[in-house]
Amino acid sequence: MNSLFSRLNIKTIGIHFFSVFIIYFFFIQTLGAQNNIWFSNMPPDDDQQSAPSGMHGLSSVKGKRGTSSVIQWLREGTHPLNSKYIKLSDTDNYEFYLYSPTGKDSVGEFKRGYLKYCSKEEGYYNGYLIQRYVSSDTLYVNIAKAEMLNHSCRNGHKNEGKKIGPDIYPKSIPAEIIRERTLSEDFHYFALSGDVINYQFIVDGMPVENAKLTFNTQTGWQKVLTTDKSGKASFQILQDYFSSWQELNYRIVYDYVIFGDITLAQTGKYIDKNYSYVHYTTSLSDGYRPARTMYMSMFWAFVVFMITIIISVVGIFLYKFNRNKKYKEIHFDEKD
Amino acid sequence: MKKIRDYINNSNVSRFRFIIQILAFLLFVYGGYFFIHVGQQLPTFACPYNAGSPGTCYLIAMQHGLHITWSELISYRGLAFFIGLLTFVLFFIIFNKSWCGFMCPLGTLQDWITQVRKLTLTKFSRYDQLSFKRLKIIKYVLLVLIVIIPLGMSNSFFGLPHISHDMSAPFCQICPGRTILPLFSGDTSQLFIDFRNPVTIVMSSLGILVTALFFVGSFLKKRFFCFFCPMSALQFLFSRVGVLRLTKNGENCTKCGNCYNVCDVGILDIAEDITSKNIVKDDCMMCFKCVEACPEENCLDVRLLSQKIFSSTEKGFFKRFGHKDELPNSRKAKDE
Repeated sequence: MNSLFSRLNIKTIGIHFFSVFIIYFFFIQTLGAQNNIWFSNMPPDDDQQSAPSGMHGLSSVKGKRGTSSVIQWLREGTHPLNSKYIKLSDTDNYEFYLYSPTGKDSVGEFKRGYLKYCSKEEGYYNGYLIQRYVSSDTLYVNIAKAEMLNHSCRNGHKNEGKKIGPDIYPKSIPAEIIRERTLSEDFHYFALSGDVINYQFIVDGMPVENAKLTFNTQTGWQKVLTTDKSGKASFQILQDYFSSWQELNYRIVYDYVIFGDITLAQTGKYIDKNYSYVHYTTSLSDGYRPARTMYMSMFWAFVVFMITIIISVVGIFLYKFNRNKKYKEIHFDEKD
Repeated sequence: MKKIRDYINNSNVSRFRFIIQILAFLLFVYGGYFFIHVGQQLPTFACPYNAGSPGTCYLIAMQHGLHITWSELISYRGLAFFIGLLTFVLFFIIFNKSWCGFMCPLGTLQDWITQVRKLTLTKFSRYDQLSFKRLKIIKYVLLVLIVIIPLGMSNSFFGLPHISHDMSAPFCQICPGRTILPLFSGDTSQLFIDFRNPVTIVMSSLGILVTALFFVGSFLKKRFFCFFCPMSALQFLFSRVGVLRLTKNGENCTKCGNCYNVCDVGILDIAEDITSKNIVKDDCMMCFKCVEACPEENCLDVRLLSQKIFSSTEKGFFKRFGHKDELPNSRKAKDE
């Protein structure tokens, strides 16, 4: 023991700290250089943090004649809390696609740090930003996907089932995560704590097994799963909102982002560089609200129901009973 | 032609109504499961909270439509509201208030509860005329609130703060249709007390309370809820333009009181009023029981586009009420 302490002088401690710093700098920063990008619903400006509102909590800007533009911001990082907002320059290498619910391309625009479009058609708009680069013998494909629902009850709910279905565009989008719709899902769907959500990871339109899906929430919860044979993985959103009932905000929206990763042996050439592998990283983000069970009680409804029934039945019985006056004989003295 | 008219006048309209009510109940409660869609502005309780509903009651559309600012009222949104109102009137204009008597699922449910009461040999109740006149105002108060509250959520009245958004679609929150009709689709999710905040606690408790009163009231009083229904009040505003009418020839009326005795709502005016031609009162649901029970020739007529389609006749009266006990003024009929 003494020999150990004798060897740990200030010089050696300094060297150890330096080596740890070097390892952290190169290793961790190299991980960061994988550039996990994703589209976020939350505005970068703190003053606008309450901005998301309206249908599905999308950030929107109202224009003339009631049209509203939906905005999604590009962020880099793996966690909703500390991912930074990034702006791409004109010289950056990227592709941008925005598909309307009917599959029309180029319906919106990407301006350095955010995508914007004017919502006209009902259903899901799909936005994609793709970055590609080759490092050693691997082609890295980073895809940020935004899935944005546009709906107004004023337009009715015709063909709701058809309009909410997920759309894929394998010709232009090499990989993406799809959120599976539930049977009861409609235009008013919003993920809630406790919900089980199925995701499918696809590459070139086909499901992929053993892809790593990482689910990160705004409150810091993370879960990693690998996809099964059908390319699917299920996540149950945890309950992470707690409040006294007087202060309960059932409309609070917590963001989450899910990343999908896989490396496949695919050979090819990208900008004069040959590669033997392709590493796909794709993202999808959305929000979730507190579970309805947190603030809805069927038990108390039953209590109120039964009390009302009992009081009204007893009240009516007493009212009717009191109206039945007892027979009362009245004698008149005719002499008077 | 005379034979057809005699056949109709001598027929049992109540039996025909019973069949129509069952078909309408199936349509408005389960139609959605068969991909039937009949519109968003129906003048009857087709409740969208019920998954099987093929359409939407106009009251919810109206409440959503009025959730607009004053400036929006004279913009495209105001236009959308008036188009919705026009659609409602067009639906209504054909059948007039017989939407209540023949097609309303909640009305049908009340009639079925009345049948249960008859089986239990319980006497039914009636309001005295003073109570009748006082209570009938409630539906107009509810109608005014349905208009004011949504407007008050988007606008400030006399500088007062906006009404809480938790009062959205206020009537739906207390409507028994919202809680009861989904039960026929096996959905109990509307039976809850909402503990989000004091406003939702009060509104959801009122909803359960009204549901309980609906069952107790309907058991003791025929068409208990219809008397307070704001849809009935709204319909009455447009009743004059309906092409289906109930008319009275006062000269033929002997004030026997049969029509009053069979009236489920208990409208005394139908027997007392011998001066009005149009006898459709605000509480009338056009079930035509009064026409069936009238023994005077052509005293009460059902007219479509001013053409008589069903008239009171002596022959028809005795055919329907041939047995002494079934006469509207008999003790048995009064007890039922």
